[in-house]
Amino acid sequence: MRADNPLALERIYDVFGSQLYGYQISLLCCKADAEDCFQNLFIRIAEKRRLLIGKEQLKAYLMTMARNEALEFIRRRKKTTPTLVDQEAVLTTDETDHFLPVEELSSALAALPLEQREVISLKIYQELTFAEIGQRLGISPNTAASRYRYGLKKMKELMQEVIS
Amino acid sequence: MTKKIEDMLTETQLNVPSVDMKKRILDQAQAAWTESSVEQQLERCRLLEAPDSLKAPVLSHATGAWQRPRPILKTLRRWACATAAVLAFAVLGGIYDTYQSHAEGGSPVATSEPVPDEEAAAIASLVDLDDYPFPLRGTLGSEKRPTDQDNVLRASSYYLADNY
Repeated sequence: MRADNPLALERIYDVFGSQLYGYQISLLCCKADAEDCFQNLFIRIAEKRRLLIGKEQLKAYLMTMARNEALEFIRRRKKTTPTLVDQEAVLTTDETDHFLPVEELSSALAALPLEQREVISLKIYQELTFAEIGQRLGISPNTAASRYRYGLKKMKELMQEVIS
Repeated sequence: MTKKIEDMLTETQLNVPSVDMKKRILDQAQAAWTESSVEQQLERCRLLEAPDSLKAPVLSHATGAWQRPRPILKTLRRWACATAAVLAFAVLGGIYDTYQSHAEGGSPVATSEPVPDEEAAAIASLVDLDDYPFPLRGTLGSEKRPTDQDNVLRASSYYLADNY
């Protein structure tokens, strides 16, 4: 990045790509949109590369960029398509694990409000603490914990509805 | 007395939870159990990863953006163009004014602001114009004949210089 070498992009992709993509797909709940958004994110990274030089918390900075890009995408999507976008499965698992209701979990996760879905994604898949989530989203740790708890509760209810 | 209190406490059976309390505690525990089961199931899943086919187009577009000129340069260039256009307009305007002024036989020097009638009358009441010789023609660098207001102003300045 300091040498202004585009190969830095590939390095960023290899190190952070899957986490950035996972975060965006958990926000967007649509594979096609996540792919477009992910592409936009890397263009933004290329354009803003000078801001990234010397960042101590590069991952946090990139995650914030990914979040902003996804939220902007959602705003644009709301303007252009008044109907709800079809939610797609955003979760996967090892093929050997047949006991997990992945489809139901994905549907329930996608049906949550964005705020709750985001906290669950950050807590479980980015392995952040509530304090870190609060810092990143500009909310208190208690609010983050409440969103997490309400989100899980709502997922439970949704999954019970599907099962029954 | 102590004995009586112990008996009373035993009789009221404070140590035994009521039926309602038992139901409430069990409901909450069951909910927590199910939520933790949703949480565990989510933990066993993982978010979809970026497909391998995405890497090449993403990096290709991002590298293209990397090699484009920086947006700040674009902005600066735009500002420079706008500033140059404004300056050129101002210079041309000034040249035109000078040319027009010379064409009319006058001077580009702006004349003084007109004095309000009441103020002119007040100054004129203080000054006896006959006391001051006024060969004013051409004294303002103009071939124009001075107006009464010019005379009043000039007279008042002489008057003030003489008296103060």
